[in-house]
Amino acid sequence: MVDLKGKVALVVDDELAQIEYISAILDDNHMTAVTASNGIEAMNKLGEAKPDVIILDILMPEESGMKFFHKLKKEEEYKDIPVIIVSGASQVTGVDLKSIIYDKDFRERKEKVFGIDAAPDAFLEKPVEPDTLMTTIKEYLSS
Amino acid sequence: MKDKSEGHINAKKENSGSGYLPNKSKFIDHASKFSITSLKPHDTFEVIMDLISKIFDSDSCSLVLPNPNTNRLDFVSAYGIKAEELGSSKVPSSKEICQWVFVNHKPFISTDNGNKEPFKDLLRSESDYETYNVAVVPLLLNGRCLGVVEIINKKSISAFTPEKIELLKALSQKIAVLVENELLFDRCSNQFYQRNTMLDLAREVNTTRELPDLLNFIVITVAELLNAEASSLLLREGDVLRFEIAYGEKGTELKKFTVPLGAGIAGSVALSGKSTIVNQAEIEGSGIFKEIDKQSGFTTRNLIAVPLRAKENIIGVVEVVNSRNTEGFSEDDIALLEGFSNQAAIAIERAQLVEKRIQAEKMATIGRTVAGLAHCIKNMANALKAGEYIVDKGFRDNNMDLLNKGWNITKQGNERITDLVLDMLTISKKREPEYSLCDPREIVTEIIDMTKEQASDKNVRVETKHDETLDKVKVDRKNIFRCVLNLFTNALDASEKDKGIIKIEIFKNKKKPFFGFRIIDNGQGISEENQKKLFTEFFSTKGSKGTGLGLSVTQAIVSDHGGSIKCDSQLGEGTTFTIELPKGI
Repeated sequence: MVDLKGKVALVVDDELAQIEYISAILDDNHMTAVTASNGIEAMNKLGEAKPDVIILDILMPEESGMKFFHKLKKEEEYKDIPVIIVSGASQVTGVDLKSIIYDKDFRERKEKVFGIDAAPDAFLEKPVEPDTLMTTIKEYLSS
Repeated sequence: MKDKSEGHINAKKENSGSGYLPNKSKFIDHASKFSITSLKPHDTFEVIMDLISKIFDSDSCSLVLPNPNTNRLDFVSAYGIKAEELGSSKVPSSKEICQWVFVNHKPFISTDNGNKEPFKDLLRSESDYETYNVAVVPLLLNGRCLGVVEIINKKSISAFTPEKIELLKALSQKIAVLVENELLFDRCSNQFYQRNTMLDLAREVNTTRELPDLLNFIVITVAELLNAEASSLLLREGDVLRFEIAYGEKGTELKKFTVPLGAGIAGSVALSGKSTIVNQAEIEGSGIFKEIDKQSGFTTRNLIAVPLRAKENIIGVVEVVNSRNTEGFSEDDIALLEGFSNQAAIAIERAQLVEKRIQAEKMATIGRTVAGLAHCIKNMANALKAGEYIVDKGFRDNNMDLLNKGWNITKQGNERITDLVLDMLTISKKREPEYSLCDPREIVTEIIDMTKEQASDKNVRVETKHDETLDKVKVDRKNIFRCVLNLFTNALDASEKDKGIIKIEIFKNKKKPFFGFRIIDNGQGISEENQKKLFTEFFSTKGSKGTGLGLSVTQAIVSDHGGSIKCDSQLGEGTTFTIELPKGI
């Protein structure tokens, strides 16, 4: 059993309702939420928040989750923080991100989509169930 | 036989009741009147025959002219007893008095037919009607024989007197002129009609119209052009021809049928690419696909079929069935129909391509719409779920703040669902705007007031400019309000915090009675690629915040008003949206 108390999650989403929702779930599980409404803001908050996990939306104005992820993986200090995508994007873009993330054979495609040979640790579709979110977080915090 | 007896009675009635003996000048007067009427040749000829019959007090009187298609003499117009029978009968060449007169340019008068050889048998065999005297005169004009007039059985005991014969000869010259004129006129007007019909179709080829409409036009036109009872159009579908459309009696029955390539007339025309005429369809081995007649209940007497050729391909066959002309279809008809079909085939091919493209676009649109809608609804469900969770937590933690937050999120979710439905309805079909008199400045003022919180959050400056000479306008106020609000909130979203300036201008078109709104921002701008997708439903760059319907809705409302919308944008410099609308007054 992972002790979540005091663990910090950086929640990046442009939608206030989503931020409030995820924050409430985290609060119920004794975690602390630091929030940002786009990639630039998230980058700025990394140093102060020192998150244990990042919960990231993809389609956001200003800077997309993808771009943020790309930058994150280049930062030696932060590149090992687990990233959980929570998005509704796959439906509109027609790109099935989930299958790309989990299919290890699609290295090339992965590079094409994410720009680097790295993929987010998990992909959850909106609307996300509190239990699903917490199980996923626990999985990556324990490893 | 019923027709025969009726014809007899009618003819007798007219003749016996007349007692009518006009003199020569009176006839010429009549004839000249008819020659200047706009009657069709057939009508004119009938009137002439009627008059001659009355002048000579005869049983029957016929006009016999050569058929240019068959080189045989045909009874063109007949009056009196046997008129109906004779009208449809053909004069066999070389065996007839008429033929003799026609060839020799000499009149033939017989007062006692019983003794006159070699015509005795011929006259009797024509019908079971006894001929006792006959006069046949040639219609001579400039040394040519145009045809003959045949008068049978002068009723008075004295047969054709020399005086009457002289009168007949004099009249025949006048009739010859009349016949020549009428036939020339007929030919001219026919050619004129054909030329016009060809031009009509050529015009149709160049008109963009939907396939069913085009096919309908083609079948009606060909039937009328060739003076036929019915017509049909078959299009190739792999190895079969399918009846796409049929015109005439039983036309709707035909639509169910397909004909294998190579089978029947249509099938072999489609395979060989050669036009075909069948003038005796009832004969075994005529090639007619009898199955179709059997199933449709239609009787094919004769038909003409030509291929529909678009470039190298035969895309179908046009059939015209049952000519109203007694001779059936002619080579001229083939030439005419082929001319048509070449034009028609190109038009059909083009309409098919357009139809295919529209269908593909429709399917793509449906797919996009479903995906877009699903995404929107999911976002809203997401907001409702979030609201619900936060409200629950507020209760559990006894936290009024959370309760408030959760409840607001839920309310917003509900509002967005209502907005989405409204937007969907607006773009789904054309609506007549509900016009009312309003001041465009009021619209702008209200919008600025309504959005001032968002503008001050972002610290965006809003400037307005009005054309003072613009009075009130007549628009659908509620909907134009939506349009300007959509464009304004887009501008707000695109504006950079603390740096944004948005200008709203109301202007008047100096050339036409139009006015408009211009919303200018100095925000991030729109890439050229995205500018192309601006009015595509569900296209959004705003993430979960946007439905991607705002600009589609705006465009729909503006176009319902008969106005236009334009976007000028430069990446990194800003965007200007202009909508222009009729003032309505």
